Amino acid sequence: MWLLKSDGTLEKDADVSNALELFADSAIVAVPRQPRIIVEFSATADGRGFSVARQLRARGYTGTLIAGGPLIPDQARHAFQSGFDAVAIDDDRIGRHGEAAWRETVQRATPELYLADTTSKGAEAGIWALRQRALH
Amino acid sequence: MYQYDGYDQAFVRARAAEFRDQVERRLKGQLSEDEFKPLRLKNGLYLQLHAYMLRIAVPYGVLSADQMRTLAHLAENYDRGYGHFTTRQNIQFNWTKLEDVPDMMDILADAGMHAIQTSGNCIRNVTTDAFAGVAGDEEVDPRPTAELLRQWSSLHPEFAYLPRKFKIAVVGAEDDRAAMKFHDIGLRVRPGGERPNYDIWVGGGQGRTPRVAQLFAEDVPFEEMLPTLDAMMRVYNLAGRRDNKYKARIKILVAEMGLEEYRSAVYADRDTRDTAQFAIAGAEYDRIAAHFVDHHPVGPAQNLRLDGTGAFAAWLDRNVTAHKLDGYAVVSISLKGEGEIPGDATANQMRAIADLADRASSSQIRVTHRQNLVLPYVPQAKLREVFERLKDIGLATGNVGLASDIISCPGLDYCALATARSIPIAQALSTVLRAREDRAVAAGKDPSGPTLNISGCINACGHHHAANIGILGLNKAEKESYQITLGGRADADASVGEILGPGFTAEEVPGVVERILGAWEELRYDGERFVDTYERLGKAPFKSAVYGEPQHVAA
Repeated sequence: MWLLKSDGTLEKDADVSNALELFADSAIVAVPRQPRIIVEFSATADGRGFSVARQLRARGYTGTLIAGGPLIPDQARHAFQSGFDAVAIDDDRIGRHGEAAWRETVQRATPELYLADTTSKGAEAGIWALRQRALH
Repeated sequence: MYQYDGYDQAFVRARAAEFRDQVERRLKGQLSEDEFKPLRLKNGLYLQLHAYMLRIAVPYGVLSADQMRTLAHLAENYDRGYGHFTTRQNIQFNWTKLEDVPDMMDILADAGMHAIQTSGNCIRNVTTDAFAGVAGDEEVDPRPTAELLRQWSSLHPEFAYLPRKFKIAVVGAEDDRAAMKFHDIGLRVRPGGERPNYDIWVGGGQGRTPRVAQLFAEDVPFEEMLPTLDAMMRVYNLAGRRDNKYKARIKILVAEMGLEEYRSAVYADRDTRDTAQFAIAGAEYDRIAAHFVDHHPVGPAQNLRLDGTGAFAAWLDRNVTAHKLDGYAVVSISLKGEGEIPGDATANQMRAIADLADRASSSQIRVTHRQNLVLPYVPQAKLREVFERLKDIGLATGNVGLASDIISCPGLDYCALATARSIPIAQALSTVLRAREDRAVAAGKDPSGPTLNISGCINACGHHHAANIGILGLNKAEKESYQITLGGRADADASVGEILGPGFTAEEVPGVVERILGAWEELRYDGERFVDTYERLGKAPFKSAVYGEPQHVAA
């Protein structure tokens, strides 16, 4: 398993076996105590995991959040900006999309958002905040 | 109107570059078609029957003259010389090539435009009243709210893979000119304190299960509006159905949960969030709103007596609307000429309209949800000149708001989802209806009639449910069959039309519509609107007018 981290580094041979596995299609009942959680997305087009991460962060989870399942490089930004620290990638997807596509995805994605959420782990500062800072 | 600053400009350029990279990776095979599909859809690119169709955002229907020239350039160089304005105030090009689209995005970015979220299961282009800012009955200009929501929802990381598409409309007047209650979320802007308040409506929509939206919350202060929308979206993203695309819209979630339970879930989620982070939206709202204080030229400041004869009189009567400023008029340009394709405009027409907007409408143009265009700032003294110029380019038909002002989706002529043709039906009907309207005008009578909308499949892009007379093209036993609905309306008293009875062939449709109109003419009180006659008498008299005596309908 590979791990793409929110700073853009790609870690090979990562071990995520000690992380608590949650499924993006089940509602969060309580915030887990485990230091590492992997949220499994059920399909590329199923975006529930992004909201699961946001909810966990909003409810005070400060541990490591990993996005698992069939995400593509273009969704890494979505994961980080929704509160994930890393995206887990299997060898098959590294091979098919190319290691470079994963390594460069954060640089290739649109770098900013208008409103950066306080729970985001992405690099964006938020255009509204930047603009208001420049105006005052 | 809103002008991009360096941040907005950098944002759309970066998005264009990102899409170019996505197309390259698709062409190299690094992205499968299944993986690429949601990415291209989020950039407005559909694979249709004959080619790729690119849908470009016209945020809340507002265009500058220069942006219209950019669209004309794209029509000429990347399409077959025309474009199609849609019911969501966007424009689509039907004959684009995948390899060309990245270049088109760069050209659009240069003009302060984009195709962000014009399709896909995400928050779509926010729509509003095409008369926003100029209508006499407006309480609050909805455009600053619409622009704020455009910015908030653009590339939103969490709400990009929703169960289904999500449409938001904003209105600021009692007369709803944006079919607000047929949207997933509808906002009615009301005067508040320093900033406006909002009535929030939820769960409206068309498609297979048409629903009028329900009132979620009333008079919500500006500061709570975005935190509430944020939680409304999250509850939908997590709980909306994903097992059946026809049950995936928020209207089904709200119906299945019940409005009360949905509301509690939304407020419970909102309570966990750091809502202070949304406070910055206030200063942004003020900054955006300042762009919409229109700097129109100092006008005559006095209303003129508007009169004329013949086609000019009919055009003044139908296509010219009172402006909130004395001395000005709002001009609607009908894209529904007799026998024409509703919503289509050629590159030459786009360019001529841009020139006209520069000369006589403070360089501003609007796109309406009924697939027409608007010149919002015309000095009354220039109305004759505007009419003559529109006549030169074949766009002076005086039929805005009449039955021949038909909404139609592209249907089976272009669309991969369609089950029947829409455009030829609209064209045939337009000929019949224009003749009827001309006869009424010649006889000194009121040519008004019902609204008439056509969809080529159950997805209802042609808004047939919301029309006084709706026409839905289906495929029954390998043949096109057109089902008629009556009594739908998209105004403040929104309702869904009722099915009249068994369907008809394409050839029969104009005759059927004429029989419905004939029955109405006989039954209506003097000056009574079609919807009022229908509400008073129900469908029985129309049914017997269409299907003959009841005993013959048994089969």
